[in-house]
Amino acid sequence: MSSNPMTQCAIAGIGQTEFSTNSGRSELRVACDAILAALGDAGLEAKDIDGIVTYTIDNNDEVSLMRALGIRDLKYSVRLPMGGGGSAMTLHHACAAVASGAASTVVIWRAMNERSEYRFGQPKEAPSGSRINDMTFTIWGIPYGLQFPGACSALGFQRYMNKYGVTNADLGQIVVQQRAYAATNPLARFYGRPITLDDHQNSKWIADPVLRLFDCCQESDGGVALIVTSRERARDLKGQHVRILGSSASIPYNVEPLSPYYTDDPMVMQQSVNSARRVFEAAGVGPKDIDVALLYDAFTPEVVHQLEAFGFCGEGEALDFVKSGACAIDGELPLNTNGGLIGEAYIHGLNMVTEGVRQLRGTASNQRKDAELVLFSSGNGAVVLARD
Amino acid sequence: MGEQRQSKRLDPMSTRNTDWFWEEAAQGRLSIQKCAGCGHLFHPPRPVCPDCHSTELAPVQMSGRGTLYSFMQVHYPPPLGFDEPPIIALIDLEEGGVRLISNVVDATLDDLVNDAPVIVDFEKTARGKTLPVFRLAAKGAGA
Repeated sequence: MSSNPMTQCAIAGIGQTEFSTNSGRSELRVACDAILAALGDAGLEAKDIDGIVTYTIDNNDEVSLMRALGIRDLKYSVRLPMGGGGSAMTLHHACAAVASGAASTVVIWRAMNERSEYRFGQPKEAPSGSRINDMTFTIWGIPYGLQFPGACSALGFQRYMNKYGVTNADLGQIVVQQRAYAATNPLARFYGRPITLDDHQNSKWIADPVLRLFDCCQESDGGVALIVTSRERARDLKGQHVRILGSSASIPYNVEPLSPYYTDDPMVMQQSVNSARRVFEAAGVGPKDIDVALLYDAFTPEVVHQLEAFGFCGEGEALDFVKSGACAIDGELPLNTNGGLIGEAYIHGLNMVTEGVRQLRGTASNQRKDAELVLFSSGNGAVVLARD
Repeated sequence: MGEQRQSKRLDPMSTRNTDWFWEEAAQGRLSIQKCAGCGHLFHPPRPVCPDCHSTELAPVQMSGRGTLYSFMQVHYPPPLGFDEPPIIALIDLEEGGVRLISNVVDATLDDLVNDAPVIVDFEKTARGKTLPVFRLAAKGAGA
């Protein structure tokens, strides 16, 4: 048994709203609904919360959330950088807070009306909201037409495709599998709507020759919340907790989450290479031990990079790995079994954690039999979750 | 200038760390930040050299020649400022260690291959700022 206190924390509760194109209520209300659901799942009350963690590009503020929910006094709060790339880092920081004693009960949230109130993924003349002024995407991309996340994600990937002889149809195999999972997940935006590879190939080009429409997540309204506390305390709570067996974060020099163009080799996702090494070391497991992988998939190239960075396959082999059927529910590595961000909803990564918890509780719609270890990666961070 | 028709291009954002890049372009120069202390060339610009922490940094004109690292044509949603879907590319400058986001102009996707030689040209934005862009060197340097 590890003595590392960072490995002695648990997710004690999960909560979410419906995922839709129009929540019909304020982002603050969506956040409150998700947090209250997570508290209910854990058997805790708002007054028990003494730590709060989120990540950039969420429009809700801590004071308003406290005021709405009746949270009395926060001993620990942090808002992490990197947008959705930071979603797995939230668990790393929540564990750090709990393990150090800085807080005992940490809520993590994401809640947005990114489809109905504004179009998160559409071209922009200039950034608004969160200060991301120094990002490559905004300063260096906008006058050249690089104006939205999908295009940013595609730009370096053409070289990978050329180097390894893969095409957009190969990326489509990822989407067909994920939409099949979404089709049987009632929580998913694309519930009951599987696609074929032909459907994928007939969807319009976003960025030729890399991305088609079906390679992209769809802007979604909705919220997700998680409650992190110690394993010891979680055992006494109502909810069926899962252990956070290991967690990690990485923000490497010169790497931006959406536009990592300035490294020596943008075909390797360096933040994931680093976070993979650290999370496996912390958890004392390796890629072969993982029962279900949940890899941040705002756009399909990200899945390719992460499959390789985590050693699930070799460099340049990710799409052969997917084509082999490895990512099916009875395959070597069931992948994004809720449908992923592409198939379930784009809640910036946190809905992958709820799926991980469901897999370990045995309540997932697409259940991997006897799942004991789940990996979630968001690029800049990773966690290994375990049945406890 | 390669582009004579009325440009609809958006201006780059103005920041204290980056305005000089576009001002150099307006003078017909593709310039990159160089550290007077250690000679390090780097992009994107920053106020301090990451190697020696010197603040003696100045724009130095590049040859304008480079190679095509990666490229794509963005169709949808239509980027603001273009009548036709732009080809967006990463360009590695021949001076080494510097990679730029830019456009490849006067080319179709079928004309492009990785590592093809390219050369700088300049285009105006709708409001009159100047942007470095690139064209295939094999097709001539424009003008």
